[in-house]
Amino acid sequence: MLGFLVRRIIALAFVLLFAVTLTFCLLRLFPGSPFNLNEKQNSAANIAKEEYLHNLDGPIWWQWARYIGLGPKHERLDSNANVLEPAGYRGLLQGRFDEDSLKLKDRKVNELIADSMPTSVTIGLLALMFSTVAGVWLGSMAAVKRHTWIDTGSMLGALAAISIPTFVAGPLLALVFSLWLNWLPIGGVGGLSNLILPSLTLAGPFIAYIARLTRASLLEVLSQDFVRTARAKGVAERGVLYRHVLKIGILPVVSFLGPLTAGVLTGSLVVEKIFNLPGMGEMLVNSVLNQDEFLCCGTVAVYCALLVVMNLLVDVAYQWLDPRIRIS
Amino acid sequence: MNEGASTPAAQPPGAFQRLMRNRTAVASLFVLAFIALVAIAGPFLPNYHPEEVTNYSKHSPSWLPQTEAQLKSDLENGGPVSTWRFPFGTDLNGRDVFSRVVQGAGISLLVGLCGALVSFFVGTTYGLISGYVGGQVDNLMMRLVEGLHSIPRLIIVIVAIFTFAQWMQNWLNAGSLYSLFGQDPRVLFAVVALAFWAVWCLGAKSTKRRRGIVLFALSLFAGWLVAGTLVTQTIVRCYATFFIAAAFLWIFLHAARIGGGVATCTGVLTAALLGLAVSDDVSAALQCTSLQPFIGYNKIIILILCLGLIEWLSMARIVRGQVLALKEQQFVLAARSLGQSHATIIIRHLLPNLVGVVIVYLTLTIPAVILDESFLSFLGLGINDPQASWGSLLADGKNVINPIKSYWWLLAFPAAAMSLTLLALNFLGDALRDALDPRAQR
Repeated sequence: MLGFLVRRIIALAFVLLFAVTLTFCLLRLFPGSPFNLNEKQNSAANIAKEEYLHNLDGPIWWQWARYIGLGPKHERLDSNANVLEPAGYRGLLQGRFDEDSLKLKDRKVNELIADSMPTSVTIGLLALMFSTVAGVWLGSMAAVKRHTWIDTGSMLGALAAISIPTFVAGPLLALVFSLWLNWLPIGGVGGLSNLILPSLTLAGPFIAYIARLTRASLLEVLSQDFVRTARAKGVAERGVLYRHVLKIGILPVVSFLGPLTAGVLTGSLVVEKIFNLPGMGEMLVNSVLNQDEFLCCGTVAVYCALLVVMNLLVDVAYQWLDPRIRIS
Repeated sequence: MNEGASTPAAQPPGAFQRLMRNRTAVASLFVLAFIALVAIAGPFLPNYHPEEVTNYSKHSPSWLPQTEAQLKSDLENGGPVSTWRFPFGTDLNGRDVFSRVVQGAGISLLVGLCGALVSFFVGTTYGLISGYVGGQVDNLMMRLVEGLHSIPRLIIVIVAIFTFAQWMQNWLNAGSLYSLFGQDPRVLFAVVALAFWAVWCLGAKSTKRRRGIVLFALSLFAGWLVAGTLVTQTIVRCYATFFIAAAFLWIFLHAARIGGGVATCTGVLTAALLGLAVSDDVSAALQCTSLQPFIGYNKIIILILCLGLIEWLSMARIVRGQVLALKEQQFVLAARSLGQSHATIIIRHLLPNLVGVVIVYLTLTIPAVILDESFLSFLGLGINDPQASWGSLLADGKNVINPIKSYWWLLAFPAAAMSLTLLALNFLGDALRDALDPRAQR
C-alpha cells in the first residue's frame, strides 16, 4: 500500500510538472512581450528591464528552468533598486510560489490565489456533494422502483439535464430563482447562500450523470445471486439495499469521482462568470488574456493539483471499498 | 416432420432496422437534419444579416404583441418594424438574433463535426498502433493517455488556443502561402516526402529496399521531367515527355503491383514538387496568393484542431480495446500466415471491424466538441464578436440579465437551439450504441 502510494505520488508530480511546463511554454510562445500590451508602447530598453526583473529574459528553456527552480533567479529589487533578495534558486521546486503578477502590480501570485481559492473550492465541494448525494439517491430510487413513473421520470429528466450545458442552465436558473421568484441571491460576494445557486447549477448535469450510472450499476447488482440469498435469509428490503447492494453498486460512482472533479473544475470557470463570483476562473481567463505568465501558470498548477489529489483519493478509496482489488 | 426446423428462422434485423425502430432516434435524426438544413440554407434567406447593426437595440421578437413604449421607440429609431423582421428579437447593437443563431448553428456544427473528425483520426490511429503493436509500446502509450486524463485539458487548451490563434493571425497577415512556412512550401513538402521514403526504405526487407531505391531514382527523374515540362510549356518537350511519362506510368503500375508502391509514389511526389520549385513563375504565383479571405476563420480552424486534439482519449481507449480483442482472432492469424503485411491487415481486416464502435463514439464526440467550443466562446476565448457562435450568443444574453427588465429572447433562443442539438445528438449516440451492440441481436 505504501509503495503504491509513493509510486502514484511520484507519477502525479510528473503530471503536474508537465502541465505547468506546457502552460508556461505556450504562453511564452505568444508573439509579443507581455510588457508591451498597454496603450502606450513600451520602449525596447524598458521591456528588456522588465523582463530582467521578472526573470523572463534569455532563451525560453532557461526562463522555464528558473521558474521551476532549476536555475538561479536574478536578485530581487524594489523600486529604488535596493536589493530585497540576492540571486538564488527561488522556483516551484523550492516551494516558492510568490512571483509578482505581471498585470496586477504589487500583488503576488500566492496572495491572489489565496484570495480567490476559497470561493472556487467552496462551490466545487458543494457541487461534488450535491451531485453525489442527489445522484446516488435518485439513481437508487429509480433502480428500486423500476418501471414505475419515478424511474421513467427521473431518467428522462437526467437525459435532459445532461444535454443542457451549465452556461444555459445558469442564466435560466438565475432568471427564475433570483429575479422572478426572488428566493436566492443572484451570486456575487456574500455568505453561503450566494453560493447555493452557483453550486446547484454546476452540479446539475453531474447529478443526472451519476443517477444514470447508479441506476445501471444497481440494476446489475440487484440481479446477482447474493441479493437473492440475502432476501431468502430474511434481511429486510431496506437492509438489502443499504448493506449489500449499495456497497457494491456505488463503485462505478466512486471511479467516476475523478472525471467528475475535472468536470466541476472546468465548469466552475463558467459558473463563476455567470454569477460574478470572485473565484479563480475569472482570474485564469484574465491572466491568459493579459499574458500574465506567472499568475496563469500558478492558477493552472492549482487546478491540476486539485484534480490530481482528488484522483489519488479516489484510487485509495476504491481500493478500500472494493475487497476484490488488492494492489500489492 | 418438424416444420419449424426446416424453415429458416426470420433474419434478425440489422443495425439500421433496429435504429429505425427506435422512435426517439428517428426523431433526433429529423431534428438534426432540420438544424443542419437551417445552418446551410440560412445564409441564403432574404433577412439574413448577422453582422448588420441597426438602430433597433434590444427589440423584443417582432411577432409578439408590442408594448406602447416599444412602438414609440420604433418610430423614433426609423419607422415601425414589420411582423417578421426580427423573429427572435435584436441584441444590444440592434443585430437580428435570428440571423445570429443561424450563423451560430453553422459555426457550432462545423466546429463540432470537424473537431470530432480530428479526434477520430488521432484517436483511431493512436488506439490502432497501441493495440496492434502491444507490449511495452502499448503500456507506454496508455500511460500517456492516463496522464492526459488526469490534467484539466480544457483549461490548458485555453492557453493553447490563445497562442496559436495569434500565430495563425500573424501568418495570415503576412500575406501569402509562401510566407506561411517561412520558405518555399514545396521544398518543405519535398523534404517531408524524402524523409518518409528514407524511413520506409530503412524499414523494408532488403530485396524490397533495393527495388525501392531503383524505383525511387527512376520516378524522381520522371517526375522532374513532367513537372518541368508542364511549367515551361514547351510543346516539343511536352510531346517527348508524354511518351516518357507513359512508359514510366507502366513501370509505376507494375511496381505498385509487385510492392514498390510507396517508393514510387513518394518519388513522383518529391520530384514533382522539386521540379515545380525550380520554376520562378510558380513561386511568383504562390507569393501573390493572398490569404486575406481566411483571416476570419483562423479562430475556427484553431478551435477545431485544439478541441479535436483533446477529445481523442476515449476514442483511443475504445479502439485499442477492440484491436486487442480482434488481433487474437483466427482471421488475423490466417492473414498473417498468408504473408499479408501489417498495413494490409490493419486496413483490410481490422478497420472494417472497428467501424461500428468508431461511429458510435464519433456521434458522441460531436456534442462534446460543440459543448467545449461554446464553453470557450462563452468565456470570450472562442469565436470573436462580429461572428457568433451559440456560446458567444449565450454570453451576450447572460450579460443583460438584470432585475429591472429581462431581455429573455437573447437567452432563450440560442439556449433552445443548442440544447435541442445536444439532446438530439446524445439520443442518437445512445440509440446507435444500442443498435450496434452485439448483445442486442439476441
